[in-house]
Amino acid sequence: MDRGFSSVHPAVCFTYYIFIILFAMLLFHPVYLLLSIAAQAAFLLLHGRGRARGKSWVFFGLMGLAVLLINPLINHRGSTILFYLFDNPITLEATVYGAMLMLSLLDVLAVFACYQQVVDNHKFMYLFSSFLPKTAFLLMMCMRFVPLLLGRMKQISVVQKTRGLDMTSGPVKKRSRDGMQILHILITWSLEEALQTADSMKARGYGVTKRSCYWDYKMGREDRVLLAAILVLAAVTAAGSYLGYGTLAVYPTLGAVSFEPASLAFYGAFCLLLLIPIFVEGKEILLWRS
Amino acid sequence: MQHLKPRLMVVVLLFVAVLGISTFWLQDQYLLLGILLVLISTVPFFIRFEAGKQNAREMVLISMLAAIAAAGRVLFAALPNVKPTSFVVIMTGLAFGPEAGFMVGAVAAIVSNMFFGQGPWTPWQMFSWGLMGLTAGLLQKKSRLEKRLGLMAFGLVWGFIFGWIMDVWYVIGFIHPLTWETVLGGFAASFYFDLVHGLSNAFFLGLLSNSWLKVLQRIKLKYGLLER
Repeated sequence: MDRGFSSVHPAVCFTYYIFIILFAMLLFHPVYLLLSIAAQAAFLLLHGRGRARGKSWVFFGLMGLAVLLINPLINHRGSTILFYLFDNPITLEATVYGAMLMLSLLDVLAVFACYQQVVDNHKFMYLFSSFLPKTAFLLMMCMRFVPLLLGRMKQISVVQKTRGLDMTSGPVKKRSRDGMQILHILITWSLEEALQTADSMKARGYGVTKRSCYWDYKMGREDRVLLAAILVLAAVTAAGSYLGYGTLAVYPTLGAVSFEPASLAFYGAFCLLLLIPIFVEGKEILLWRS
Repeated sequence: MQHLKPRLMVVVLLFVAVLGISTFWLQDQYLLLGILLVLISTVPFFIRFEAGKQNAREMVLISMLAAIAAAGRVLFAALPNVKPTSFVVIMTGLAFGPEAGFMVGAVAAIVSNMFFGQGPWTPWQMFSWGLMGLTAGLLQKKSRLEKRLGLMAFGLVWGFIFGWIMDVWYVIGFIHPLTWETVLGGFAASFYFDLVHGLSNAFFLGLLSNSWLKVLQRIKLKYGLLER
């Protein structure tokens, strides 16, 4: 059962994450980036997903580190020279720029992780089945086939192990050849069977009328209110970005992070936008605890 | 051919609109621009697929092939640079033609990322795997990729093209300044991975393409599928 932000209408969640992903790429400013990363991290922790995909986060961390280091090493623009490395000036500006690039990369990846947590594959299908019905149907079938095929692969590998076909040991060349052999057995098994499925579908009237959807979501009053709030806050943030508040001037001299009233207002609007999922979740937790 | 024209117009208009917006409003947003352009260039294929008249058998066949390509990626997760997905996609293009090749490649990218995690890389993978299947189908029509050596060279070359397209999203988004040197540096950094991908493609295509083609062509003949 969905709860919290996941129980909001999928169109609202989808719109929300489209904006957040756009802003993660558009806004190049430490305050915005740090706020967004903090909000995504808090959301993931709230969902107990802090440790999920730990391995890929190590990889993403290394990617971010590479971005952080590459920029000051290859880029010598900027007016404040920190030190010289092999006669190449390392500037403060390039270092800060590299750090912001790293934040931006991590932010994009964190937003995708949250997106996946909220808009799961069923909701994605629900949204797309209305204007790309065939493609959505194709994807839906394909999604169902993958676990089926993985189960079959397991069966095939257990049987084939008895005649020495084993993907888990040996040199890479042997393992990949054995893996392809398993795929070959799988394809002969599954294609034939898939066509029987198709005939059975046809017999039950596939393609006779418009397809309906198993999951149905109704847009309620709360969903509309949330959608309106998201649109207004996103419009304010976009206006801020258009007016130049969303980008920190780095070259030729590092600009200061501004805390004048106008920029504070734009930070605030973005902060409210970021807090929407946490607000929805928090409200639910409070209501159920008290 | 006249069916192609309105679709092409849509794509050209979208391209112009996105480039216009990026020139006048969103300067230096290369990652966003790249993702939009890559997505737009897959649009005509999806429109064509939506407009076409597939029967149930062809739909299930395409989705099963895409599922096999995606499941192959999961099976080979321990050997990350060996991509059986590419092999299955190329085989589909060869046996069932360019359109089926594109759809299987693009759908396999989306579905396998439902298991590996979606990210900014998904549109680029859709694009590259789709194009891989498409070119395999087109070359098969034009010049008969049946000669094993030609097929292996095709797989090797696509290993590099795939890697370079996948480098692009990282380089244009997160490496500044964008110069020829930094782009080439990004390509050089992934050289080893691309080489392994290309070699494994060539290896599979040389060794297994005949037996796989036999299976696929038998299915095609037996059920009279995708013959237009």
